[in-house]
Amino acid sequence: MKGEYWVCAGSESASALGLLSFLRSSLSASDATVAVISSDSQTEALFAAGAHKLYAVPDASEERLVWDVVDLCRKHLPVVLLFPATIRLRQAASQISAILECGLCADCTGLSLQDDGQLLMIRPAYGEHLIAEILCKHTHLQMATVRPGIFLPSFCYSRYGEIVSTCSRSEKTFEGLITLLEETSLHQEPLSDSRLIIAGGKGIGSQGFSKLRQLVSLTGASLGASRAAVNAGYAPYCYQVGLTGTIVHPKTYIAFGISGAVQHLAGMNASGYVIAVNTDPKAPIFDYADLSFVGSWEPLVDALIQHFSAKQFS
Amino acid sequence: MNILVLLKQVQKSEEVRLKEDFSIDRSRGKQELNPADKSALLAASELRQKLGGQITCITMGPESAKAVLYEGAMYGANRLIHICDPAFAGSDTLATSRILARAIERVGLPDIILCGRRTIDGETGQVGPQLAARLHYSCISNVTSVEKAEVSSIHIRRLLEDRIHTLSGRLPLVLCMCESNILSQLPTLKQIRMASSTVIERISNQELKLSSKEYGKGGSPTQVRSVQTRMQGLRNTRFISNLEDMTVQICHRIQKQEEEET
Repeated sequence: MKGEYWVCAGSESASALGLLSFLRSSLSASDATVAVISSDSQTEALFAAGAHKLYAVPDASEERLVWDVVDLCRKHLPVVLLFPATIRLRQAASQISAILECGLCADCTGLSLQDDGQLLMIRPAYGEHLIAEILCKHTHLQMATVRPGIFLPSFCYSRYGEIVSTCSRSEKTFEGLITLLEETSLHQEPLSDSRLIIAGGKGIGSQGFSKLRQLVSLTGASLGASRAAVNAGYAPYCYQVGLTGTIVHPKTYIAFGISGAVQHLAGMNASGYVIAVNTDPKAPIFDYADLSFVGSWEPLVDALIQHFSAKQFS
Repeated sequence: MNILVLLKQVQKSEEVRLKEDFSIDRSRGKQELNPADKSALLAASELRQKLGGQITCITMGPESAKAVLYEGAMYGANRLIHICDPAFAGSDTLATSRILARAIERVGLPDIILCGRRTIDGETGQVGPQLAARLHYSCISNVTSVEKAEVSSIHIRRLLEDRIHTLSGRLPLVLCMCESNILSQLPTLKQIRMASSTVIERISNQELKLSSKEYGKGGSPTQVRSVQTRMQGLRNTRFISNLEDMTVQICHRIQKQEEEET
């Protein structure tokens, strides 16, 4: 295999490291080059994770990133272009694919490079009911966005590579198209990256959610909520787990008082280990759990809070 | 202001059934308007209340997809466009956005395009931004609400992984809306009656004149090589009956994970 295999990191380098390591190890026996497009000034980790080459783009608007990547692709003709599937990069990837008329596979959960240089992309569809293997044919460039956390980076800090600075379009073209007026932090690790999620359903009520928040802060977990709980106003929309909220894949998912609507189950079934607590023994969530408890959430949550606060002060 | 809303009819997620070749069996199971597209529709009708103008709804799909256009009319759409051509079946997002762009150029370029951020069937979230790129519109995905609208610009909220951005965007613009939990007012009987009498304009490739390399399987670079059904659920759960045991189990699990990660 020859040619250049790229990862577009933009300003989100941390999410791109695993993809660089994947490409580097898949291409180790070939002459191919692994390159990253980044606006990050900290470049060591990108090289350590696997990049031979770094195309430095300005830290500018998303619209500008789209055109910088398009220009780079037209000039250097990479074979593969991967993106971490973050909200902003998924949008950019889509725009780039349309401008370059290249196939783009969304939200992959697996990738493998075939001997002929074809990229085999694996992704769930229809609410994780199906797993599809997808190839990108008839275009010179194969593109995919890949769920964060699928490939873990491995670092080799003695590695370093070439930095190519790029300077194409004038910032003026993009001025005023989209302007950031205000930024509010959600004070929580992104649900989509979270390794431990503690979630509540409508049944636990607002009092239940205030206890869950306590437990979440004691354990370093992230808070999740069912759609019904969000509808009832117990948690804001950004905490909603499910197809109509955020699709999650933590190592451990703990559900208190969530019965398991299909759209919720589809959004959390990729979790490593699932613990379910519900008063209804027929709740569908139990079919999707590894460990289950039929009963009230409250004494359990109280006991857990007690355990973890005692641990914190011991 | 000319507002265009993209609508898609999808299979209700509870009712997905597969045929033997792993394609979705659309003859059974109920169809519905994609949930995020409903937010786009509501945002469109709010925008029109503030700024006046026209709402055009457009959908691509088989005969049955007309239902979502009528739903659009119930929420106030003045013009309904149905892109319907069996030749377009099997189009991936790239081909779909190409067909939509061609159709929109034909019916008239709007000031703003609203769509859902993703559909519950394909879940790619690509068509909105791809369409924006083809029409040279700016694009903002994952929009939770429209805060303020003026003739030449619009203020919106966008939910990112760990923060919320308030942005101002200059028109023309594509907004990809998140699903919303706000229950909309049900349409009145009069609105329903008026909706069902709204004329649907049909567009096929006879009008769009795309070449066979631009639509359907032939115009779609991404190709499904194989599909497997995943064993859903059936994790063989272990029930714990005793509260203390359950507490201990959960504590162990959390602590073990903490240790593994540090």
